[in-house]
Amino acid sequence: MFHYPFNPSELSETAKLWWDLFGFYLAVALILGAVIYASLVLIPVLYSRSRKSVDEIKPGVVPGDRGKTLYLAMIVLLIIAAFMSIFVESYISVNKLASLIEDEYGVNVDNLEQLQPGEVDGALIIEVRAFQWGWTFIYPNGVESDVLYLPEDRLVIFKVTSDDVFHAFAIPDLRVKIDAIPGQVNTSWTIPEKPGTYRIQCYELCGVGHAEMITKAVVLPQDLFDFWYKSMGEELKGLEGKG
Amino acid sequence: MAHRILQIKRWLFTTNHKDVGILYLVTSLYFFIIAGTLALLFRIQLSVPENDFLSAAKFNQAVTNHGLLMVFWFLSPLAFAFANYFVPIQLGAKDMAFPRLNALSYWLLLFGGLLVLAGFFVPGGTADFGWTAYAPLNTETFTPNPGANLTAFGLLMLIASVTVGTVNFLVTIFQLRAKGYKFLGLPMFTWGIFFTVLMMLWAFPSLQAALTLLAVDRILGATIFEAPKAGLIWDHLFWFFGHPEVYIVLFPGLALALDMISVFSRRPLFGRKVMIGALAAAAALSFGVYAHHMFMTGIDLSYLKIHMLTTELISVPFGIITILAIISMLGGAIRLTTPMLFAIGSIAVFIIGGFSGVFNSNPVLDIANRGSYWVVAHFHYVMVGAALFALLGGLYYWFPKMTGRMYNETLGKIHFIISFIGFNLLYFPMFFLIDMPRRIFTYPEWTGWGPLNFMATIGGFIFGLSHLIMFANLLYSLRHGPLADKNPWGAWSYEWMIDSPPSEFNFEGIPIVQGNRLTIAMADGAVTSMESHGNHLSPWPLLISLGPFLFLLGLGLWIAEAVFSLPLMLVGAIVFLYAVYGWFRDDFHERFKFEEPPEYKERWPFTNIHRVKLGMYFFLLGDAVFFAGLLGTYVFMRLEAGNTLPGLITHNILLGLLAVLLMLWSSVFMYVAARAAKLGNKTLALAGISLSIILALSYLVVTGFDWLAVFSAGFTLSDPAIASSATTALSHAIHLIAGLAVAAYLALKVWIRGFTGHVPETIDSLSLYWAFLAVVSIAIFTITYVF
Amino acid sequence: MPFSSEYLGSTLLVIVALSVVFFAAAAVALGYYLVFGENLAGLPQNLYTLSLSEYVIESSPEPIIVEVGKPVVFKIVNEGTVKHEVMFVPNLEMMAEMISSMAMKLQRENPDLSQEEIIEQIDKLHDTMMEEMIEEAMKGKAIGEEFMIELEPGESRVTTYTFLEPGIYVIACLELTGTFPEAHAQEGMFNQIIVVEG
Repeated sequence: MFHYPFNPSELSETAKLWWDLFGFYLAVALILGAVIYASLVLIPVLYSRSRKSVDEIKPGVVPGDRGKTLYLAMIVLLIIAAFMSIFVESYISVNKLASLIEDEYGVNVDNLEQLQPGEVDGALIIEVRAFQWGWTFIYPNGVESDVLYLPEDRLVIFKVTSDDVFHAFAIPDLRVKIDAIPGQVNTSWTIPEKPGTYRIQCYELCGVGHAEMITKAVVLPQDLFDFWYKSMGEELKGLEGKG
Repeated sequence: MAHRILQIKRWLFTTNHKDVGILYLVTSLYFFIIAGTLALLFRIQLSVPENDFLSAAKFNQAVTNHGLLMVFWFLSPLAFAFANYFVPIQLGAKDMAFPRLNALSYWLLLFGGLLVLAGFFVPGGTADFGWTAYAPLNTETFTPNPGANLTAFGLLMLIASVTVGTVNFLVTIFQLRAKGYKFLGLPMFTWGIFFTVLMMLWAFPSLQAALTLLAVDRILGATIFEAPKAGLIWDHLFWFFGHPEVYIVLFPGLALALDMISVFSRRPLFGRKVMIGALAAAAALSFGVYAHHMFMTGIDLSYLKIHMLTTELISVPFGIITILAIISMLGGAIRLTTPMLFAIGSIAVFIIGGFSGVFNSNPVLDIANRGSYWVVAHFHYVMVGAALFALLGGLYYWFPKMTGRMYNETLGKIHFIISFIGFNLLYFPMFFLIDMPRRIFTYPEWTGWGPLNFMATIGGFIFGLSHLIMFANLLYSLRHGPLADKNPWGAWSYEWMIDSPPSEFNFEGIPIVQGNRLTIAMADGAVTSMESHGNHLSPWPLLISLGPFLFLLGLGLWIAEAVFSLPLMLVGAIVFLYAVYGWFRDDFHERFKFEEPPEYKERWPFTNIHRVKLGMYFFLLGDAVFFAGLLGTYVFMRLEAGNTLPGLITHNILLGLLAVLLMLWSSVFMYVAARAAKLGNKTLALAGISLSIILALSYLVVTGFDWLAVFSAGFTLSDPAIASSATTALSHAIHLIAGLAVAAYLALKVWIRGFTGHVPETIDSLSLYWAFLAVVSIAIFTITYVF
Repeated sequence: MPFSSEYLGSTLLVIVALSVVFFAAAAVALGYYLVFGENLAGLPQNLYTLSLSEYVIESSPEPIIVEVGKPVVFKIVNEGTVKHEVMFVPNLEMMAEMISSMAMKLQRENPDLSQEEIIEQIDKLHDTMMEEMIEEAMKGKAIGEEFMIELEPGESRVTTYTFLEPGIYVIACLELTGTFPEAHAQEGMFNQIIVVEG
């Protein structure tokens, strides 16, 4: 049914992080949800029309209740415990998103948007420009393309901006998404791990062409990517030389 | 024939809270049908890949207006139909605190909605930028559709309606409870409405600020939202309003579901006070979670982390409420009537909606969720599922009370079952469409989204058409249903103690609460005389809303270059001014007098504050957010938009200081007038008001000179900082001009008739308003002149 | 009863009312004077808008009078149809002569070059050589980001200067487009900044 794997964790580093967290949330939701749903369905069925209990409520009387404080406190504590575990887990994951590249590549995540090509070893910095209605990807060697080519197993940093209106740049399968805002450079990163072709699409309504703002990201093995990158660069130099 | 005309007149001119409630109900259902039809249209378009049923432009317009109409003109008005009808009765009051303002609130809502609908008939089409209207897509450059102007105007009229309604409800709940009725004893529904209006009070002004700036952009040719990064300030303003708005839609329904669960399981709510506390906590937290809509905008990570924490925290009160609601049924004698089924269904879908909401609280998970169908599914589960199911349940629950007749129970249950199945078939598949972007009008076949979308469309039709059963059921029962008792459900809130339908003033006598029980003290002379005080019909609320409607319609069409726009604007202005004159004239002759004697009312904690002044306090609390939004935009523009000049250079600091001084003096004299009015000194009061008017007028002139100097120095509205500070100054001036009109009228009334009615209290409220405007003028000076 | 409290009260009221009305009237009059007053144009201001068009530099307000040591903001707008500039010129006649003689010399030596190409070449010279000259000339006299601001049609710029020495500073446009081989300044595209002691 799903053209893409429901679990995208093998596709990229960010997708792995996403899947771990999503699974945790899903587990908490399913366990709590099962208990709550069971009681929500069972209680009305069990107590339906049972006239056994006393009809103690009379019109004009606002009901009050006492003596069940302990019971109540337990419920509150249980919910707060569930909340705490979710909060701790999500806090860790947010920090992990930053520290993953900070530790391995020594990137300062606080000012990614000021990062220049060549500053970080082994990282590829791609400028993404969104416009009504399409994308331009600009590589460090000056190559401009409307299809995104990515190397496998290498850190890719996207510097995303927009020429006109609010867009959102996303490669959903690799779990990359960041807003493209005119006048501002936003950054996002990933490490693609599986060669293949993935969908790139705009995720913020940007006018009548929104649905057609769709292109593809091609993840190539390292050597193939290098070959493409070099040959495109040389072609560009050749063109400049002639001009 | 005469009878029929009388009937029409009654509905147009009514100020009775129950009639207004019915008007709200009919209007909201009308908008429900329109917005629902729009939804079915775009569901057809999405049912199969690469469909061409609707064009992209038409699809976007349908999606946008579906969102706007459903949220603003269906869900909230439906909740407020019940609130109008039942909150005063549940409080033991005979009407709202300000009945005419209540009618005004309705008419503003209706005409605002008609303005939005009119956009469809303007050449060039209506708004198509989504209900969130992200900048800069919403500016004239990217959306030249003249209909979009009408949408912005319609929303501004809605905000006017909401502001008036909010103040009215707060004063009603605070000051019109029956003698001896403690706050904690109020039914959950009234509590829900109480928190709803509190949130409305602070949320809507933020949208008002954003829309005012947008209107300045679109009408006066400024470019505030086209400045670099300006999309972010729209996001902040919109979502500061937008997230509380979700709870504004949800709270009345949720609270109503709690009441129904309690009634139909014949058990008191377990942990009722905890539930009230949880609602309060959620209402307070709702203003601190909005940045989770902005996780992907690249704003400061630590700011996002705080909002991640609060978003996860806000699930705690809702979790507590849900579990307590379920436990309340334990050991009950549950009757699975239609309202009860809807209440349980509401809780059931709310659990799914709530859990999926927690998934959105994390920036890492938001990488997948942002802008996808997961979010669509989530908020429909909350807003349609939880809120709508509960409100439809409420419609069945209160139908016998409102009409005096019972509906058909079997048909009601069939409606519930079909709509519940249709609803889940419609929205549950969307959770699996987590990688499909929102608001795309079509999608290629290779994405594989076809089958799930087809399923959703089928569900959509089942869900949509199932409501026809309800309409048929209720319309038939209106005439032919069996007569209903006073209290068919055995419920205990006070609307069930009176006739079905209730008489004009609800209670024949003075309602007093003793030991949680409502008793009706026999009427004494003072109370009955109030009821026989004659005519409660007033044409002015209708006309006062019709005027701006015609004017704004003309203004919107003027941009579309229609020939009859200028006459329309002229007629609108004349109608408005005539209606204001009429309102003042009625007030002058004190033709319309409605006040329940305060000694029969529970007014804690505002025991000694007059209702007019209390209303003014609430209004100003909300208005402060409006000015904060405008000034915040100015600061943002100065810091982020680049190449803007500090106010020290663009403005004449001396003139600014002079203006502030004039405004402060004006406010001092208004205070003197208020004190004099309280003491009954006519000369001093008149002198104070007129001096205050003179000073305020010279404030306007001096500020006008300053702005003239700014514009003649070559600055234009194309500078975003100038445009946003000009908008602030303009809004302040409009506030002041409205105040001046009231002040001039009051001076006239005091001069001719002396201190009759509640004139001293009105002057007192006006002095409060003046002090607020003086404080705002200081804020404007320190921020836009000095910074 | 001339000294009863009632009488005193109404006298006081009249006095207060009169003074308030006077205050309001004075405020409005002062506002009018500050914005529309005749003398205003002759006083030092802290903001001037320069609009450039064929072939004038117009200032609002006129004339440009500045106090020593006070930062002044210039909002410069090119409202013309060709490229213009605002540059501080130590000696206008000499500079203009220099530019036009250079242009004529280039035309003589390379008859195959078109006018546009000559203007382009002169522009290059002008950008490098003159910029240094002006920086040198303005050193110690004024503080600012740049003393030569070139604007394409429709473009605008906001910039701040602080003058350190009193005197008369000439600003001019030495572009050639449209007036070739003469510079725009020779058609009258110049203005002056009068710097006075505070």
